[in-house]
Amino acid sequence: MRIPCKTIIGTAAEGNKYFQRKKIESLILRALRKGNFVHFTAPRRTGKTSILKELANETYDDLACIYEDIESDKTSADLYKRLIKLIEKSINKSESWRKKIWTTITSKKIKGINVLDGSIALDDNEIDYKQVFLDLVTAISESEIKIVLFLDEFPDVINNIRENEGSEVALNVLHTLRSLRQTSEFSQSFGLVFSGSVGLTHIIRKIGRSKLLNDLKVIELEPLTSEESNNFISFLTECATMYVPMDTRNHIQTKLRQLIPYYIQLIIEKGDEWTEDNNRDTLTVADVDLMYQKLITENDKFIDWVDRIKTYFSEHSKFLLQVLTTIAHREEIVMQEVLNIANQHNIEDFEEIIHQVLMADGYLTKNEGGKLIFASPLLRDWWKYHYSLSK
Amino acid sequence: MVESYHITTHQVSQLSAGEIKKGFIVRKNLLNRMLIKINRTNRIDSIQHTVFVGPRGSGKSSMLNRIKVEYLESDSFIPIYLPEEQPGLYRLFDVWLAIIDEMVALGYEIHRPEIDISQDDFSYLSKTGYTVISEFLQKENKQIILLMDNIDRVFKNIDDDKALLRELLQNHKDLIIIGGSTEMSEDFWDYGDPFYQFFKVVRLEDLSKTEVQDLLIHWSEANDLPQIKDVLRTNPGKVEAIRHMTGGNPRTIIMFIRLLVDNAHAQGFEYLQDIIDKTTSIYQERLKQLTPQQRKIVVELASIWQPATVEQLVQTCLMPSSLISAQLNKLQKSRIVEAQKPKKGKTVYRLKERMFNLYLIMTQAGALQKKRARYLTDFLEVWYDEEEQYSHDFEKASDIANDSTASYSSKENLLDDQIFIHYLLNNKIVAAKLIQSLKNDISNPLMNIYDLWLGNFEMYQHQRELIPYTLMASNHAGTYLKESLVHYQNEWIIQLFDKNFELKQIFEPIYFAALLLKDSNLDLSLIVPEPMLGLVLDVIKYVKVRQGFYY
Repeated sequence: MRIPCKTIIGTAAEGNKYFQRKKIESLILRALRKGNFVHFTAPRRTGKTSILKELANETYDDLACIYEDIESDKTSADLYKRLIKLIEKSINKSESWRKKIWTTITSKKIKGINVLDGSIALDDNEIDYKQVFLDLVTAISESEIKIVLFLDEFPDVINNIRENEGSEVALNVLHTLRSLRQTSEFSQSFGLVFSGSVGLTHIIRKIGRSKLLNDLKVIELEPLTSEESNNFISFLTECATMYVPMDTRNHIQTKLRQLIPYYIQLIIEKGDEWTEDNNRDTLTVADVDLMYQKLITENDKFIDWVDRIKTYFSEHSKFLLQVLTTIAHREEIVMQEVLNIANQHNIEDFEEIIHQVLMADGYLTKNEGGKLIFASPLLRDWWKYHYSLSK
Repeated sequence: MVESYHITTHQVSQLSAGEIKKGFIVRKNLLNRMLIKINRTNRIDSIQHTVFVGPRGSGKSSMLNRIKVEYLESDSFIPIYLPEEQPGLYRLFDVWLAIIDEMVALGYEIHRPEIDISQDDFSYLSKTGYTVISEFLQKENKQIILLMDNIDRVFKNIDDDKALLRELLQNHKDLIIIGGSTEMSEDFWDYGDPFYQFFKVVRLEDLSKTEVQDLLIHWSEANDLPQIKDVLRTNPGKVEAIRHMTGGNPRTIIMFIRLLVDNAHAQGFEYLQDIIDKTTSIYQERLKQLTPQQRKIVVELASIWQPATVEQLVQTCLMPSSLISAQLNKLQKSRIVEAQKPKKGKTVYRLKERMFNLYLIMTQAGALQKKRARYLTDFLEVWYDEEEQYSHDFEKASDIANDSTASYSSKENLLDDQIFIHYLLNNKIVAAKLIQSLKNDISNPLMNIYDLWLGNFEMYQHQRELIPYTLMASNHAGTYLKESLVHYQNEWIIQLFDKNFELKQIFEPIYFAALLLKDSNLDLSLIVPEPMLGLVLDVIKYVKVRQGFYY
């Protein structure tokens, strides 16, 4: 019986499918212990959710962490209700402190809720959920454990609130959360980690108050290092029938250059299926080239990089896409040439756009000669295949 | 009789578990991979949600049902299959209620949540319906394998609740979703959508040569129809041709094989007509699934037959290029259209399944386009007129070409058949390979045409000088001259005639046609003798139709 690799596509990697990323995990925990609220950011498909879920599943002496995808919340009341329920869940996670915390909360007699056997029942009457939430945070501030909520897809919720209740309400939510992190007694007992596949900065920019995020500790998820990438391949193929020799691993690294786990998984998973179909156990350098080629020709694998520009930077999308297509075909260009393209589109602050969008979000980087190149050769080759210069 | 065959083309869900297992012949590696992944699923590790994408008849329902029967007796999983036609599922809680009903049918003690029908708003059921299922599964320590045919349609219906569904799947480990979809719908690729890149998309690729053989052997044995095995043994070329024409789609292959068994001695065009009649329901269904804009593009693409650029489609569809590009993109995702990207030049598109293309030409297109279908029947006639020893397998063709004992005429025939087929199918790569492998031995004038068509212009120029010496002795002189005109070589043909009086005498109508094609302002009645007028017009018509085919 052939044993497949431990790859997982689309959903977060959990349990024995999770590849430990100690460095970034410690970075997040350290920031939380220091009293920061964290904005965990990285391009799509880099493994943010996997890391957050892993952190939330761990047990700590001083932290009670809970992860939840909250994207279906449509209003501020939905969000506050959710936060109340998450606090309840996180308290119950901490075996050693739960009784004490529940006793404190019960003694506070928070209006609108009944606490019974470690659960919170919300009154049916019209409740000010925001107030209940704030009262609850105040109550737990006396505890010796810090409650941390990992709120995945948080930007979506802010966007939903903005659409359903208006920018003022969305702003109010952001202000409320900001006031919590700026009050030291709360920041020691309560923490939040915001994450999402939609950039929080872009959503807040729509409301026009980018400064509201200034005090968040921004933690960026970097691609894997060469050593991590090698360990990752060993992890994926552990106990699997397929074997990936060192020269093939090196070749994968050379081909990908930007070592994002998702891309490595795509190559490994496709290679696993390919070698199985051809009754082989070893993934060769030639196989990797073939899988790479297949990835390039499949439209759906990287179209998100295009869609992202069209969705969030629609006013500059033509310019940005032309720059990317030009670089894809020419391999590298100097900024003067970008200026030339910008002139066609009447764009003045082109350098800022290039840096803030294409470089910050992982599309482009600069080579040793200072010329703009694609950060990922895979993305470059995909782009070149799907977009011709005349388009 | 055909109707009595126990070869299933639809409704696999109505077969017994044993029949489903026994009848699952192809894509076994894929099934094994799926089963291993499911077996390893638990409440701690990640869950892989998957969607199989393939055209109708490609085996999605077979795969889903095969997975279902694997877990009917499982201690860890409850397989729930929601069939293809499910008009009642238009909100997320309809899905939950359907699951609860299925579980009750399987003997589980689970009850629908209490529903207050006096209320106007039932949206609360989207969460409570799920809670009922989730609590039951946690109590029983089981997970549901939710097998949804046409998952794209369900997703379109539950639009408002998609974010909630994704959230529930992210936050809980109760469901393993495995879907089937004819298209990569927006649910899976629109950036703003909650399910963007959420599923692992597995394309059901065309069946390979070996898979088709396995399938036919199974059908032959399962239905006690030795004729099928006979066809496979005696006409491997026919079977391979069918595989190519149907794009390796199992359901269409079955239709063909049924006809092949019944009409063992059928010939070309009539046979094709028969096939078209029998496959109408499959293709009509496919057409119905397209939007009016897509239908227009597909029909126009079919009538062009050869791969076409967006610009060509703008001219025939009279739609803006941006709209055509967007629709072509969607058609590509639904595997109806395939794109070919030449090393130089613009991307070209054609209908993936050539049989579907032929069906459209023969049923939807105008008289002129229908006539083009005649050329395709040449293809089938070649198979049927061929002597058994000439397999149309490429390797075999090369062997014969290199066989010093084979006669010139047999090699020549073989060459024409082989290359002409690929010429007709516009399959330049295979034709180029064949020409390359056969060239040393045979100097057929048509080779010159193939070089022209393949863009081997240097070779064409070189060979062309030899043509006047070989042409008169060849049976293909007329075809050569006409095909040269098809490829816009009027000047060369006129020069050839001017230098060779004998040739001009024999093929005078072609000469006049060349003159007229060069200068359309010439007065036909002044230069062409009246009795020859009809013949000249026939040549021009031939050239125009063929040009429409290739350019």
